Amino acid sequence: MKHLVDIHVDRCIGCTRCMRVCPTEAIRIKNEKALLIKERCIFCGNCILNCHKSAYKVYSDSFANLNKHKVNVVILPSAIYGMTKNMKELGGIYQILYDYGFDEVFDLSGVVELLSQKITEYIKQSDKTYILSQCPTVIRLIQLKYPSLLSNLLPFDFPYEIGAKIARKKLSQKYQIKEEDIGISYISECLSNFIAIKEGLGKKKSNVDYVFLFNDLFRNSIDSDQINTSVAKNGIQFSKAGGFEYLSNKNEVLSVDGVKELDEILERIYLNRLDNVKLVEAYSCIGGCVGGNFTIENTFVAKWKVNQFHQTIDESIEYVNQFRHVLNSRDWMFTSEVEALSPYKLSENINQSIVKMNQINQILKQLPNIDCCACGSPSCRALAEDVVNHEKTLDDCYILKRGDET
Amino acid sequence: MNIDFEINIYHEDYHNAGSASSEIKKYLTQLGLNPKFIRKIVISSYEAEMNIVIHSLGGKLKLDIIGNHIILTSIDKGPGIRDIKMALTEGFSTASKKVREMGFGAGMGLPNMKKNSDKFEIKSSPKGTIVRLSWVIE
Ligand SMILES: Nc1ncnc2c1ncn2[C@@H]1O[C@H](COP(=O)(O)OP(=O)(O)O)[C@@H](O)[C@H]1O
Ligand code: SF4
Ligand code: SF4
Ligand SMILES: [Mg+2]
Repeated sequence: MKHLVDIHVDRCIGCTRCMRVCPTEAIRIKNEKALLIKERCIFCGNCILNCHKSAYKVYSDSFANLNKHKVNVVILPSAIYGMTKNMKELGGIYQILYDYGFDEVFDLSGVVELLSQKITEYIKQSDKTYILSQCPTVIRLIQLKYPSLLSNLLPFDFPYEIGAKIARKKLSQKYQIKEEDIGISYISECLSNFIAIKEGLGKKKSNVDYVFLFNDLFRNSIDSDQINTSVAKNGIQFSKAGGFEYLSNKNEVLSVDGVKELDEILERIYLNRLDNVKLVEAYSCIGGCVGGNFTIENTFVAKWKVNQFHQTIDESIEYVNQFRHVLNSRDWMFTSEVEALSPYKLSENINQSIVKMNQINQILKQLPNIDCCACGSPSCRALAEDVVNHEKTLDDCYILKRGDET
Repeated sequence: MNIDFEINIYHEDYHNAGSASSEIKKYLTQLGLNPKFIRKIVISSYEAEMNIVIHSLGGKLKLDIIGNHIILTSIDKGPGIRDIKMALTEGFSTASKKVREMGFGAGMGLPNMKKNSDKFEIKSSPKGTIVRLSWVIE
């Protein structure tokens, strides 16, 4: 399967910016164009955000798909609460979505509020430090870099997956149609959820049929509208980093956001250096989902708006309860194993890996070790690895070449 | 088939502390060893690294793979451990208040190295300390 992210070769100038901000060495420049190593990508979106030539393209779905279904429902990403300060503005969002042709809008805040209650119960069962499973990039990073921490990862599925199952059941009853006649779309706030849906992370196939990108559907100004909608007061807090911490026993929850900081916290757990933390609330994007890489509002303004919104609404147990018993407990969890991945392995056989490792170290001795990236590999060591793997040659090093000329 | 790898570690270099162990982790991951096995080695190397940073005048970490053995050696320039038996007691630490405030000095480093390795050897004199840990590749 081809990667869902691709490069406009006519726009890319091979400047190496994206390569240098990729946290997992998943990008190379070859023939002056960026090239993605899909197996190493953790979907953080840093590359897209840092490209000044708009050279990245993301293959989202086409609206034409909606014609295949009798009823179309769109699941609202929680990041939406970073754009709305009150119910009227949320009404404006619903109107925009009805105008796009969706018959129903499904709000996730109720599901998320229930999910948080389930998590609070779940983490009581053992003494270990659990890691929140809401951000696919967090999961990818653990799969790739900290596979021994997979047993710390919570088993709960992504809110939109749970929401999709609930929506399908409820709407097929409401409209008296078959479940497959309902088309389920998600508006993704980030690259991470987009790819997690497309590739079915933690399951064989996603329950969501189509994914659109947040910044393709919304612009920054929203008109208010009097549409009758409901939200769960506490549920909306989970759209931002620290939401779980805010609603739970603060002493037990550590909240972290941003890939670099996330990596450091995972390392602390890995080294058994994070005592007394029951749950790590982890997000790859700064600010949590309201800071997703396809959102439009400034992350910090978005966090402020969530709090504004939170204050304007009353708690509604009835609203939350209508999602409570639709599914059985298993349906709230991942259905396939989230397994360890090893895209950095030099070969399948340890002896052969050692041979390669020695070759890499030999080559590295010849390189200038200044990590200038001009060769199109993210460090001199990465170039040495690429040479050993026959992806590049020593001639790619500009500094060595300059030495040869003089 | 052997491999050798060495990194210098400086006294009180808290800024880079842990980076030698991260390198070692990267190496072992590239070799394709079992993740749980790697974790035992990396936890040990982190403790050894921190002991050089905190308690010694500087030194280095060496990683060797010889046959089916992995050997991690920590070598420093002193001042050495006065009472090794005491140092090996769980909870014993001479770390200063400042170091404890940074989250180190729980006195579990040496005991954990011992627990996480297949073979643990330590030698110390005022000229320096050598800790040698080894594992049979799983
Ligand atoms: N490399 C070293 N050089 C000098 N003293 C050391 C060294 N490693 C350990 N020690 C001594 O042994 C004690 C126990 O070490 P350790 O079990 O790692 O606990 P901690 O580092 O938390 O103090 C240290 O407090 C220190 O006095
Ligand atoms: S940032 Fe990456 S994709 Fe964009 S122009 Fe530079 S090399 Fe090409
Ligand atoms: S999304 Fe993140 S991990 Fe993937 S290639 Fe881009 S920067 Fe690298
Ligand atoms: Mg120690």
